[in-house]
Amino acid sequence: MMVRRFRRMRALKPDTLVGIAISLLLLILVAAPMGLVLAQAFFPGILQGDLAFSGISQLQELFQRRLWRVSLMNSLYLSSYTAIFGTLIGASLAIIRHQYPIKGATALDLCAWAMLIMPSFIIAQGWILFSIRDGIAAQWLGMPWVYDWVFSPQGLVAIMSFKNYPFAYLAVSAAMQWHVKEYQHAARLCGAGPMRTLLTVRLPLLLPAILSGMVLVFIDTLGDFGLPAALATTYRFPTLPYTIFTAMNQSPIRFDLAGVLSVYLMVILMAAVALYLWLLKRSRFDFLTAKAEAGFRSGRRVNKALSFVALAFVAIALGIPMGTSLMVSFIDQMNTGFTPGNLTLVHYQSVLQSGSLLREALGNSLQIALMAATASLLVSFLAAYLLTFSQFYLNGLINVICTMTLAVPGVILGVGFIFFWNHPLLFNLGLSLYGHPFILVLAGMAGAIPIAIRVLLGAMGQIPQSFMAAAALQGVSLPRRLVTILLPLTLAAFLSAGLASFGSSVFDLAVTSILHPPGYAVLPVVIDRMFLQGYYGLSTASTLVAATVTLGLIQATQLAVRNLFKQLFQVHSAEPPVNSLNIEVRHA
Amino acid sequence: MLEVSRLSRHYGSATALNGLDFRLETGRVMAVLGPSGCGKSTLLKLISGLEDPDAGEVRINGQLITSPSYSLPPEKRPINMVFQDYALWPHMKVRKIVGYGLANMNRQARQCRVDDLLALMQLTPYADRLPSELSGGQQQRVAIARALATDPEVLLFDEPLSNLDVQLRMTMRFELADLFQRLNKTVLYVTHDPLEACALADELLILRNGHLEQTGTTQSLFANPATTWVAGLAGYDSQLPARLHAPLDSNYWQVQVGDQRLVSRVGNPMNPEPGKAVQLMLHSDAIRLCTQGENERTDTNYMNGTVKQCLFEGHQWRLRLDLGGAELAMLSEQAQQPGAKLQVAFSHQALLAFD
Repeated sequence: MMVRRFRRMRALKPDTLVGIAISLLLLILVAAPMGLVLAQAFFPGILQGDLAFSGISQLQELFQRRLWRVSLMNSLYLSSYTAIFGTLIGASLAIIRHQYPIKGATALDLCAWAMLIMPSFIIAQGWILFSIRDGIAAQWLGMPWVYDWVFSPQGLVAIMSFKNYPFAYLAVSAAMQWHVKEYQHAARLCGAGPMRTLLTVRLPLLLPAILSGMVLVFIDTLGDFGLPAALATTYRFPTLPYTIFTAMNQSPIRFDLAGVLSVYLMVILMAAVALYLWLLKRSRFDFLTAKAEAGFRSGRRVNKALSFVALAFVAIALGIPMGTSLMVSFIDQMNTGFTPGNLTLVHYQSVLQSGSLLREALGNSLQIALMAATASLLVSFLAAYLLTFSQFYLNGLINVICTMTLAVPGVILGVGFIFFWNHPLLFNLGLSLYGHPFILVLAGMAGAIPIAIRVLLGAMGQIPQSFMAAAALQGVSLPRRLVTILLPLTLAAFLSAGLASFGSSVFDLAVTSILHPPGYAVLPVVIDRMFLQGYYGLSTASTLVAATVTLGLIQATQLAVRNLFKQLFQVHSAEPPVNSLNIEVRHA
Repeated sequence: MLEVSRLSRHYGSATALNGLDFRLETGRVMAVLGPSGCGKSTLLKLISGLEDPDAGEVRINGQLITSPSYSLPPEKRPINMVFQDYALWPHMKVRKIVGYGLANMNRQARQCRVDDLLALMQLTPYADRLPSELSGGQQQRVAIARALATDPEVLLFDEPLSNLDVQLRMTMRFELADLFQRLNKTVLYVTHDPLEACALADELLILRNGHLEQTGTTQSLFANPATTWVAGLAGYDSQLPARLHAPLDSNYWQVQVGDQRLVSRVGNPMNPEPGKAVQLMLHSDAIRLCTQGENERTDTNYMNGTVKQCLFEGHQWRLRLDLGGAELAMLSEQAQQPGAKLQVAFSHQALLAFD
């Protein structure tokens, strides 16, 4: 008996040990808080250790409370219409970008990435400053009607469509990267004109990408907290994430109500994620052949009309909110106009002076983001390794946790963290972290891990299984295999995942608003408060300073890593090894 | 010695390997032969520890290395492998790749061993190159050098020649045969090319749909295939439906093919009886064209046929003969016109009858 047990212990592979550790970590960080949010709707006393089942009575409260119903309807309205219009914009721009020769193609790409990376509350703040009654449109441009146009449900759909169209743009762009022109030639030879060919051949082949983009736009809009948070004092448009936040932030604090609303939000999001995965699985068209070409465009002459459309779009979607923020940060009085006498640096002096709130908040947020990004990168790297290269028996669970939580908005994550880290059980163990800054690190990790895993899975999926198998057969330990083979080959993705985690963590308004300890300054909350209190100059100056510092750090890290490992980055861009086309790439 | 007992692996409802048994003595080279999906690569993965079996076990020199309840990690097994795609890490130079598994040696000993291996595989001039700067043959030699570096008890080769062009494949076949002879290692060599298997191995193990179809020495297996399928794999490319007529002795029977009577060897295992329907298998190399006025021999079958097709294959012609209900493939030194009447001959021993 003892011998058998000893043999089993000896047989425990390093993959299994790593797998168990990662599974436990993901359970604690992601699954348990989310599970508590769900469970709390049916077991209201679970936070006090009482497991009495209450049925669905709590969930039925939605139909009795007007604010909840309105929030739900507003959320569905905003996310559904944004999904339609954002996808229309994104797909059209991608087709224009990749099908026709235009000027401003690079600007379109940069705009898409900028909108994707920028937090929605910063975009929303820019639009609000542009549109309010004493804002730039009304005061400087003589367009007071912009107020009524923007501060309406349709206007908010437009703002969110401008913010979230990149999901559709990038999905369709990726699908259009390779092109088999024989399909179009066959259609043309059958008598179809360019438009009919586009509508009947090209678009149907792009449909899976378009639908995927649409679901992603829907998911991101539904969980968005930044827009309603920025609008709070200007225009009343309660959405589910914001109502959840107010339930926990207004007296009397109602965690139970926040939990119930979170369940509704989570169920809709999970349904959308399931739809997304189903679309990816079922609607896949394997239309690429060896004749596929990169970057095919019809015609050679620059299309002026489409170039104008592309540049005009960039000017509106990116130029208005960011240009407004930039101008407001440099002016003294909003209603005096952009005149030399009204220009000032006082806002920057104020936020940068020694002992300022911004400096404290920026320092705290950068530290938290650094810790969260480093830890989440390590966990994600190991989890992605397990999913790609190992046969660990809990891989399915890791995959499900990471996929389903991909769409969990920061608000729900925050609620789940309060439920979990404030639970009497952990309190008795001395592990109650609610009210401690470290909870922000854990929340940052939980939010970053699912995204970092996706980034790393993409890179690891391109590495043949045999690379890691060959290293194992040399008698080398798992840590050394990871450091000497897998890390160098995925360094670019590793860097991107880490920096993306870092950047998103610095500006995560939802999680920090819910979880930050009283008296502990964090960047997004400080900026949002300045804005809501009407200190527009200070809030925009703070945004630009924080964005510059964060982007500077990201850029410096990127340059440093690329310089340090120059050879690795050169290898990646070099010709593939002879015969590499025959390499069989398998995915776990 | 490598011992594989009742080894099985399933993927969902699909069976990749089912109850495989074989034993390979130290220093012998065994080729695992079979078509795509027959379980060849799965066998290598189970032996190397890249996957675990559902049943059965593998032992090396008597030591258990894998079973459903116990699996030595790949890095602890006295095994190394040459992968089909070579698996050369693109960010490392040749010297580093070859010495990768020698971390437990001191620097000088490691360098010495790497230099020896580079010299053995004629790679010394390429020691500081990246894999992308090597030809296919050189890449393959690096992969072999790396596999040899750890001095494994068992060397596994997973179709290492399949990525090379025809000329290089022939050259590498000679190089590998020479290497196996010099190394005296236990080698399990997976391929789907019967000629490659014959050229390199002492023994053959033929897999089909995860089952062991036949095993034995290369010559015995090619001379005495156990089934029509193995015969087909061994190059017996003509198949004639026939009936057993009467026995001549325990090994040879008269058989009826259409209106012609021939003498055939009886395949093993078989339960022959007069009138029984059989399939006759014949290797195209064993058939020759009869010359005019040739004296008929008693140990030879003669058949008449009409040329249906004639294809030039570089230095000879491949003919398809219509025998009136059956077809025969053969090689000829001269071109033949379609429709020409020919007489062909092949020995009694060359013709094999199967159930």
